[in-house]
Amino acid sequence: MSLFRLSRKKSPWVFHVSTGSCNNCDIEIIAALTPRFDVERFGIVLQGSPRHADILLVTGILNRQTLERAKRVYAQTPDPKLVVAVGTCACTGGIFRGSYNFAGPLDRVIPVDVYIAGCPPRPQAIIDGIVKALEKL
Amino acid sequence: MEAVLTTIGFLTLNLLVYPGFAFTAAVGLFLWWELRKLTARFQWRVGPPVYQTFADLLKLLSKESIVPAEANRLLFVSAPIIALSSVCVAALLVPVAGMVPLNFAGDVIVLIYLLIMPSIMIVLAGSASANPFGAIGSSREMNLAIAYELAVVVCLLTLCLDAGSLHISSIVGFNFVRYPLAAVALFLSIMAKLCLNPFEIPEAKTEIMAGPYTEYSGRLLGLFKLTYAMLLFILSSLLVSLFFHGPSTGFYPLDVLVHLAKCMVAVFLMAVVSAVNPRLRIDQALRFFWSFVFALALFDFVRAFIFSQLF
Amino acid sequence: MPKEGVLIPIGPYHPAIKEPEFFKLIVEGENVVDADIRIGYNHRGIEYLAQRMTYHQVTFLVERICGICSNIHPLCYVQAVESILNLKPPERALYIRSIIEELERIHSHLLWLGVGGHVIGFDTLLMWTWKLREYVLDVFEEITGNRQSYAMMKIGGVRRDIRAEHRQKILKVMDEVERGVKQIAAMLLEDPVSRARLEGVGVLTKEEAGNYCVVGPTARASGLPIDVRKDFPHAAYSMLSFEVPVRTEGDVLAKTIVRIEEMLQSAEIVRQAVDAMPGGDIEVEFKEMVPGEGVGVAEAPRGEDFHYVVSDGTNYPKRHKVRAPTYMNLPSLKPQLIGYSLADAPIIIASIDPCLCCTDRLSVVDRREGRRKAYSWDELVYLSRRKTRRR
Repeated sequence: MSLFRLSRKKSPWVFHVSTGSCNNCDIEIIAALTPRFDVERFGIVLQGSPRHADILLVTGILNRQTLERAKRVYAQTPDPKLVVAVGTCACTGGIFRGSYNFAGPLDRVIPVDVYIAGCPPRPQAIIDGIVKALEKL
Repeated sequence: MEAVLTTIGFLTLNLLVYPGFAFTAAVGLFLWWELRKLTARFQWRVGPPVYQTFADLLKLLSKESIVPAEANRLLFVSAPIIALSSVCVAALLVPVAGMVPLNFAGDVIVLIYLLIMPSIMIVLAGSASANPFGAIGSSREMNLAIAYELAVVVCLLTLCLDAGSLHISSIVGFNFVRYPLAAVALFLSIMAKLCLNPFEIPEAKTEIMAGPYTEYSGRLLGLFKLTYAMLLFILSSLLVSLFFHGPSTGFYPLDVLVHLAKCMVAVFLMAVVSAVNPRLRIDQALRFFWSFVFALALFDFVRAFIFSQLF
Repeated sequence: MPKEGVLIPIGPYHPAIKEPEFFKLIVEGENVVDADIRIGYNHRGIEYLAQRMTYHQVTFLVERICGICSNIHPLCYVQAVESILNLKPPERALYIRSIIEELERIHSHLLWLGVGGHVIGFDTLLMWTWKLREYVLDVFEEITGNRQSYAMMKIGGVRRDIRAEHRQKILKVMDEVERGVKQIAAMLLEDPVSRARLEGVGVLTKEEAGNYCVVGPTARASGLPIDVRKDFPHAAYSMLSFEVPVRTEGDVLAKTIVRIEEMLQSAEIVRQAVDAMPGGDIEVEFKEMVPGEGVGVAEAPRGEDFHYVVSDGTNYPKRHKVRAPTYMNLPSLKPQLIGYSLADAPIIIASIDPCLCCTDRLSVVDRREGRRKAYSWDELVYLSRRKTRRR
């Protein structure tokens, strides 16, 4: 069984869910895939379908349109799964907290395992957050 | 009676260990890693560590498999299993360094059939998963399979015609010298069969999510990934055996190592082609296969036919 | 929805577009016969929030409209406020604004080129352009302290100076960018497979471009030579010499070439500006807000960006309106998509460089058909009451 646990830590596949972000965190996530940071070194691969994912990277404030969809994406992801809130918006709402379209911080809707603060967090911080999340697997 | 039992025992061993499931899976995963590592290096990246594909597979096997409520459950679950088992049997028919465990008249035809099975299973899997992306992926896979399978069949028949036999062991050799065009056609068809980049059309990530695999998760997805890894080895092994089977050293394990090295070179070429090309559109790919690749294969087939009539 | 044909959803979560937006494509086989664009997944109520913040705070709010053009929105906003105040920033600040705007254009176009490559399955291009882009981000980090969201703009000037020691670094990176862009352009444009994917795809004719009032590279690739930097020079553009690349084909290839040429032009502008930059202050102070209204325009990497601010003399803007370039370009996707294949749809959508987080100013409410509504009536009532309560 521990071999399976080890394999999970060595092969985290991520799916990126933007629930209404300003693109900043999204770009930094993509930047983490590119030559300077290259997360494939750690086996992290960005997947196109939530069904293939182990970790959901959620960026942006949760708004009324994406609330239901975020829940659905979470349900579509097979267990065991982790959720990482990338950026201040996903963690708390940040500068958009007072908006009428803000549907609450992410952890009110789906369980969040790791919070990465920053607007936007640097790619190093995102990698660090994912690695921290892996310890929970 | 005892002889029959011994044969069955050996065959089981062949099927499960060498050159069947265990060997093919291990080498296939290694070649898959090679492909990923090389692609990363071409992109100025470091790339994954050597155990990466094994870790991916183990992880997928330990995860939950979700079967969508609207999917056809029987087809959805059985498709990856049938694909994997047909590939395991195919591993017995493909010569590794000249040795074939199963040898009977007409095994080339059986091999062709077994190698089509994964494609058919992906088509079924995509349509069984009740997902528009799956459906589109299936129809693309079907179109593409029809285009490249013909080239594969013509390539194999060229060699059979040349040898005058449907035994796969009789067509093994360094045929690249005599039929280079068929070798190129087979190489390109193999890339399409493996969904590698210029022909990564059925599972084009940025167009149709993951195509037929969109709804697959956990163990079932793992089986598909394993099928593909094994197919990577079987197909490159087929290419090497048929066209680049070099002189034997006389010591079988050494021959196997040379064979594997040649397979790695084949994978290297695939990585180069897939890294420097964008994905083709399905109609462009079909035109490419029906005109260019098929013409290459046909040219050598006609040559083989003329030779066989003359001598 | 028509009876025949298959509905292919692109979004809200789709690997080709990193933002939650929804394109409904009706396809027959592989051919797109109809397209419907739904926005509203990224609506964050920025204009509402802006009316509850002080003038200086809004600069940081509009920076977060979009992470890619995170300089253009503050620039437009501060220009709008400056036009209310009749404030003239020092010349050095104007040059710094131009330098930041052009550096941002380079980083944005490189990003676009990579995403475009990713969309057509050319991941090597993504990796190469994004490697080059990191050098530009290094310059940003050195000048402003941030990789993105630079926080450089300020009403009356800029917040940080470009110091003498930055000059060498900027010039070095500009050379690097120019060499890299030329190399990548050669790789992309001389490759027959790439050309096959880009040429003649998603054509927007000059007439349609005019009818849909498209802006930016999308317009310039269709033969409309419009550029705010030339037409209404802001920042230091009246003092800089540069060309506006225009193509007439209107297909995805033309849009790619226009952006590649713009990057080379931008590198040239940055070089000029760094050399021509005069000394002096980088900001002027202002004491009191006066009533009035003002507009600010700037050429974002995607086209013309427009901000409109009304002041009633208090510390809070009375009204703040944003019109981002994608808002103009997005409807033109419909004529571009129809008639092409499903495989072309992502690159066509990507070719206008849609920045949907810029665009979501309002949600679409279609009253003809109940199920297409962005909000149900109850939700709208609830929202409107909630809004009243907040005041």
